[in-house]
Amino acid sequence: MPASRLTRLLRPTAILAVCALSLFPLYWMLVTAVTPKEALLHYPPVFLPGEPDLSAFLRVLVGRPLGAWIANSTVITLSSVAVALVVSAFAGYSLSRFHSRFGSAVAYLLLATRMIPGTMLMVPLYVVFRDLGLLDTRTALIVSYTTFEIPFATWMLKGYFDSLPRELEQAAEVDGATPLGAFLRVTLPLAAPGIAASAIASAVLAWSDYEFARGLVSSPSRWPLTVGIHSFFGEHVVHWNDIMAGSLLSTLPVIALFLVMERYIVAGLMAGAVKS
Amino acid sequence: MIAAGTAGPPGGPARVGSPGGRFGPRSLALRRSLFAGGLVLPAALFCMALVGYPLARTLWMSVHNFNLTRPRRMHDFVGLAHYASLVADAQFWHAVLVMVIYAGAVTVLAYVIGLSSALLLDRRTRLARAARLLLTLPWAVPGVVAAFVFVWMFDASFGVVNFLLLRIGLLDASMPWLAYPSTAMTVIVLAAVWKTVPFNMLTHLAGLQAVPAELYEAAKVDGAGALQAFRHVTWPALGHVRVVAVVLTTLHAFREFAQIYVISGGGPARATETLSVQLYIEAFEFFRFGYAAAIGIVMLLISLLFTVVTVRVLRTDFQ
Repeated sequence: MPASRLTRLLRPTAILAVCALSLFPLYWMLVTAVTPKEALLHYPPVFLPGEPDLSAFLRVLVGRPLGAWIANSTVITLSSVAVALVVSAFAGYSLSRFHSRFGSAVAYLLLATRMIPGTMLMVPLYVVFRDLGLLDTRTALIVSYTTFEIPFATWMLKGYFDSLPRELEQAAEVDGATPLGAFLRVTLPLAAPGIAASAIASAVLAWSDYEFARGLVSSPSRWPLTVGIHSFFGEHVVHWNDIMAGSLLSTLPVIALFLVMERYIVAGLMAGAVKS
Repeated sequence: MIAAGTAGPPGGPARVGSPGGRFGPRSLALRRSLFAGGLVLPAALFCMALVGYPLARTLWMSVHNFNLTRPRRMHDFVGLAHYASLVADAQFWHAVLVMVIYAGAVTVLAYVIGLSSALLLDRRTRLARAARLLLTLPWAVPGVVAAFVFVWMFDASFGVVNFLLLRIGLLDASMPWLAYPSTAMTVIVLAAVWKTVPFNMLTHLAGLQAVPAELYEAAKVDGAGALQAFRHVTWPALGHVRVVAVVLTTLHAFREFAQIYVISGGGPARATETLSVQLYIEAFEFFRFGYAAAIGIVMLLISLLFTVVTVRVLRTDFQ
């Protein structure tokens, strides 16, 4: 069919419109965070802030425990991702290279665990952590997050290992390496992009959690960022620029990591979804 | 590192690869499968300890009293009493209905917008490539943070949405979005759609790129227009991707808690309370863990049933 000039312009216009709509909430977060409080409670709203007002960032970082919450989120995320990735790298490699009945049983088990609603899992986990004396600790969160990162990261890494040729590790074995040595010294370094992508995708899961943290941790000093920012809502006056400044601080690291690793993350997320 | 224990045999590395070595091919195969099993073992143990056991515990709790505020009677066996009171509770059926409406709306909207965006971006231009990156960003935003932004955008007095709708004349007066059931539902659905469109778009983009170009050529030769090519080539070719996207988006919506809880708190007057929110409130506000466990089991059954039915229906549909 002949593509007229109109239809040729239609697609870019539509793309720009979709992008504008989709990015507006993020833009609004930014605008609100750098607008003074008085200007926020005014009609019409400020769409283009003149001079950015950074006092909200200063207020949340100095006047409120946001720094401690960022530290909590960081420690919890890094610990759970470290444990999950060691476990998942071994499991993903095994599922990719060796096809045993045990292996495929575990693969389906891992897939099935992703179907279990998180809120449902919290009910027994709360009781378990209570019995172990781990309620209201960051350890409880690390353990919980590790659990739902493993199935996710294992499948993602399996997909990445599938894309790496076996010949290199076979050559290493012929040269006298053990299977484990071949994996650790040959395959694992080659899988670095896949591992980084799985790490980021797992970190997003841990960093974004709200419900486990709210249910399992009650002391404000041990909260992660998500629960901490939500506590701003309970105050007498809701300071939207403070909330959006905190939101921005919790979003920026994820977006930055995502932009750097976008290609691998997308490929990893799609593994299994597109291939039948 | 548990897996290391199953790895290197004491015999030394040189003998492993040589077929004439001390180990026959049989024991070599055995050792390989032990190695393979050892590598997945930690993941399997983690799953059993933190998913298998809690699942069994949930089932057990759902037939016991397990009200944390009454510790002495906590372990009383109550049989199916929790399930019986669930079935008799109008609020439970309401939550099931709300969950289905919410998940249905989220899935349909995220699917349609995701597929349309994928069709728009299925080009090798620089604009399409940049747009793909930008349109994926909402995926990286924490769900509750998205909820904060939506609460603010839909604020009754100072929200930007009210301002824009008043300005273009779609509203006559400021709308208190979270004060009415249907408008509160609109806000929680939109927030979830915003978060899940990227996944739907990316899966469909990948699906589109896997469609062989010859199919479109053939359709063109047969005189098919753009719409017919979409109907007879694109739509059937995306069958597998559609199953995955629809199932995962719906399951995600079934279990969504944080966004709904932050935006509407299940209100007004429990009107937007899904099963997931009800479960959370029963457990962590009223400490009726046995009852909450029963809700959890019902949720799991609904999710399983939905997955099985959808996979069947959508698969046969495209054959």
